[in-house]
Amino acid sequence: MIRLQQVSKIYSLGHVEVPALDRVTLAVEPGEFVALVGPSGCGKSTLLNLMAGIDRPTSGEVWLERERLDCLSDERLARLRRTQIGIVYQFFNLLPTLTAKENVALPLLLDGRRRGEVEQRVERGLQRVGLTRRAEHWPHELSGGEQQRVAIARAIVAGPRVVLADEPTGNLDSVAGGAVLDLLEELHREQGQTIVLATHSPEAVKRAGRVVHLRDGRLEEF
Amino acid sequence: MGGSKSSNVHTWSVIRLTILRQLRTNPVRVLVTVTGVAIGVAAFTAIQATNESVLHSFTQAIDLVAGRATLEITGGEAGIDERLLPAVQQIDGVSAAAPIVQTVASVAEQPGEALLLLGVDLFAENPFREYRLAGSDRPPGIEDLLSLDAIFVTTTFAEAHGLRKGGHLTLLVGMRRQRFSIKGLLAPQGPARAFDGNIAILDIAAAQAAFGRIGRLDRIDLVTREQVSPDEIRTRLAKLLPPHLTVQRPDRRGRQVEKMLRAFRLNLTALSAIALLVSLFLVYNAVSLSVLERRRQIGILRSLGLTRGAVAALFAAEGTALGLLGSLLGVGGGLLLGRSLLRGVSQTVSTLYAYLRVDAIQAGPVLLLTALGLGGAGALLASIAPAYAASRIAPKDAMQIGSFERTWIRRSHRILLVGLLLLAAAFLLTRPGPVGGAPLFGYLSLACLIFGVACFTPRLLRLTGTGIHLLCRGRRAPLLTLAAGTLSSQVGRSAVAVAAMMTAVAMLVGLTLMIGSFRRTVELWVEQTIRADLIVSPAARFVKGSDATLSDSFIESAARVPGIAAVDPFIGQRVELMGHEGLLATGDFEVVAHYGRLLFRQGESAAVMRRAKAEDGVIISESLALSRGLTEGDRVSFVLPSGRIELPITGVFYDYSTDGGKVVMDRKLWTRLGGDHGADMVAIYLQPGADEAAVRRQLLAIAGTDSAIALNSNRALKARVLEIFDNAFAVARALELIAIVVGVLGIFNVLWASVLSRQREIGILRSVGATKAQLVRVILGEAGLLGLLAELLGLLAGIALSLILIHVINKQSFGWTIQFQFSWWVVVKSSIIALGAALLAGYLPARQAARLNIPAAVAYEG
Repeated sequence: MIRLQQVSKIYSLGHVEVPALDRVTLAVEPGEFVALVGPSGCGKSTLLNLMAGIDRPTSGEVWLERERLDCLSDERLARLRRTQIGIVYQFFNLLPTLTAKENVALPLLLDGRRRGEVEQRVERGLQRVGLTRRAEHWPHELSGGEQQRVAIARAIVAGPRVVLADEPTGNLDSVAGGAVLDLLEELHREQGQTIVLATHSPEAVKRAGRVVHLRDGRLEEF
Repeated sequence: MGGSKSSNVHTWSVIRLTILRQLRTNPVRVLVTVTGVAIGVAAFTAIQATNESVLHSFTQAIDLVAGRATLEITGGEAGIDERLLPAVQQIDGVSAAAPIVQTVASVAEQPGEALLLLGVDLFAENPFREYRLAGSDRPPGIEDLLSLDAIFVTTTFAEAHGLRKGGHLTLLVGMRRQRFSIKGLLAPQGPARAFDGNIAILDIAAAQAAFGRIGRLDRIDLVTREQVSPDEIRTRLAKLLPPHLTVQRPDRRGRQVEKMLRAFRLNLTALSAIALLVSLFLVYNAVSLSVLERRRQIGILRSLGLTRGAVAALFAAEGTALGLLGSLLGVGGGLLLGRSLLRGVSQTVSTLYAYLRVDAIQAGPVLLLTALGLGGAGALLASIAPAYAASRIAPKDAMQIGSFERTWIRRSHRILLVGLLLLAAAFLLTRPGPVGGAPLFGYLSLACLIFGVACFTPRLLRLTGTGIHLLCRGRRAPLLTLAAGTLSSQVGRSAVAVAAMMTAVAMLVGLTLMIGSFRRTVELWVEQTIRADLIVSPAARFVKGSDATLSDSFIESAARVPGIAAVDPFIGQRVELMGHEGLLATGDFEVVAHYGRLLFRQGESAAVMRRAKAEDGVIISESLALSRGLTEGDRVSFVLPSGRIELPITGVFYDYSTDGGKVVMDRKLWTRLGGDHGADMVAIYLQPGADEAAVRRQLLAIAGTDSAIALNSNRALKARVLEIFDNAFAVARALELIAIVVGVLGIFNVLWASVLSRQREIGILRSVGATKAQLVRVILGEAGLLGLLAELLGLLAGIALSLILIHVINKQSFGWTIQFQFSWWVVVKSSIIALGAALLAGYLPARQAARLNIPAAVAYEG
């Protein structure tokens, strides 16, 4: 489903070039639950960003099914993120000016879906994460765990091929973090959702079907 | 001492490390704010410098022409009988007396170009003025000096018009074109420097002949003995002179000019102050944004031991620095702008008040320092509130941006209340009358109105944001929902920008409505009162200050031309009307009653005119009635050469031709009172079916071959009046534009800051699939909403502003009643400008948002 071939990413910080990924080759199959682990700064987030099409590699190829992301137009990439790729961040990243329901609906609304479809999917999404009763609340009225569950609902609302989660429990206490991991695991188990999870948490690693280690931008698979 | 020095050093270090570095990292905002202040200060400086230049030109001309004269005798337009001169010379204490006649003449073939002709007794001039011939010119012989066509022009004028000694100059003087022979060029010294060299000297006898003023003088200049006080000499002269003559020090005339121009100058100053005010909103806004962005920094500095006072001082210093920098640029730009405004303003003053020639902008150090000080002090004042807010930030709250906005939301109730109080004050301030002739309470009312409406912005922003959000709920309008959400959640940072733009829109709407209403009123007035088919006047009359007249014989002959039904000769003379200068005019009341029409406050035109004629009454202009508290039935008094006259007021008529007040009497009464003959212009009414072209030919034939009379058709005169009107408001329109530009900069600043502070949000939007185009639409949507709110409030404030301008400020300044006319066009125009400007302001921030690096934007914790 997702294939990275000889992908390198080098950041320029003024005159200094900092390599973040070094010729990484990786394939994620449909229905897989992959955990990316490694010390801070090893390139986990960069790898996820490349998979999400919000960043482009310095060299190499990034494929989502038959589409080569690093060659797509910005417009096409945006459309893919609305429909094919769901992203969950460590800091929840909900829009503070939209209610929980509106945050979840955002990808569908940006995609111009019909009102009926939007309502149906949002309701299903919120039901899936157990927050139907919090639909009309603003992000600042929700706990961290609840905000992250809204973020997950948003990531899955359009029925994406893959959900990319970057340290989704990094900002939560162990109970809330556990609940989020439970949710991701359920999605994987019950719906066959492909998930790539960047994490430090041993708890998260335990739930993944495959663990991929990154060190200094290079892959060490176990 | 040492401690204080070291604390100064520390403060400077903190400023360097925080403020200056921050300014460097935010060049766009610095640039925009400084530009905004510069534009506001430039508008203010330009207007003040123009005002100063105009006044300076007058007073300098008076000084230069007066020379060493210590007293002068003037007789208004009625003049002085020259036979008085020997008697004046005999008065004890007068060591020299010099006769003067003067007029303003137009240069033939060069419409609009004019010069002051000074007729002097060249042999009596030495104690008063020095004339120096240019270069190595030999002094002309006595015959040349005294020949009737001899004229001396300045080298400046000669160079500008390609003239030389021995050449000729044709001028429109009196009813004629007159060809003068240039007998010498005057070096720029003494009187030759007046009006930037647009002055010419001729012998008094030649001048009296040329101006048609044989036997009469305009002025007698006096040099008095130092041992005798001028007051003593004035008393002696008063016993000798007829009552209509005034003895005064020459500089008094300067003060009269100042008084005459006061309302005109005050209005321009008030408008430029609004432009300055808009730019100060910008400083407030910039400092507020800076405080908002640096809450973390403030928290860190506070936790490191910086006191509240020091935090406030830091931000006040930042605002003042921006203000001073902008003011410095603005003063320079203002002088350049002033130069381009000068032409328009001097033209208007020349058309409406008195002949003026001014090419160079005058700006003394006081003006420059005032402009700098106003910019700097205004900026400091504008920074105080945000600086204070910064000092109240507790270190523990500093990390939460939301707390800033929550404070604003809490405060919005209180701000709204202040706004209501200010609006009530604005209303109450329209009640009192003028102070010393100036509508000071009116200006205060304007200020209260602007600040009052500005206080509504926070509340309205929140209401609109929430309203749109509710309306869009569940609908497929995610972009509008997002834009509205930002609106209601960023009240603090947006409110002041909206207030700035609102002020600019209010100024645009207010001035457009006022000028439009005024123009429509004048149009109606012109339409109803200018009824004559032809208006004949000496061509020289197109310049203010010319006293060219049409002769009695011309008027009598004209009345007999076949096809002409009636002629109405008009004379207007500046006289003292109950303590102020005003216009005393005459016309043939019977002709006006039959053919013409004036608009009276009470009564029908023909009836009032006939009653005035029958009862030896006068009619007075509305402005005179208002400024002196006169009404129908009262008596008005003025001084003529024959003595003080007091006449009953039969009617009060609307008149927009002068702001000094006007008294009109029938020509027969005027003649009985010993008034002048001839006419400044003659209104001609044709018989039905008369051939206008044939009448014109006949009139030109009567005037003679070398005549310089202008024949204006009814339509041409009406068009001329409206042209003068439009020119008079050109500067106001320029100021309108300036305010809009500054308002746009305010919105730009907010959107730019908004994009910078919402990087994470923008990143999230992009990461969940918003395209660049969608993002641009969100930012432009925000810009549009801000513009729309500014338009809405600005429109309401502008309508109120125009009402204050019309019913309070104009009425108290000039005494004119203007009918308020609402025009839907102003709504369309201001909406297009406000929305267009806001979208323009949003364009760059939107582009910036679209270029954002998504991973970087979503990576940090907001």
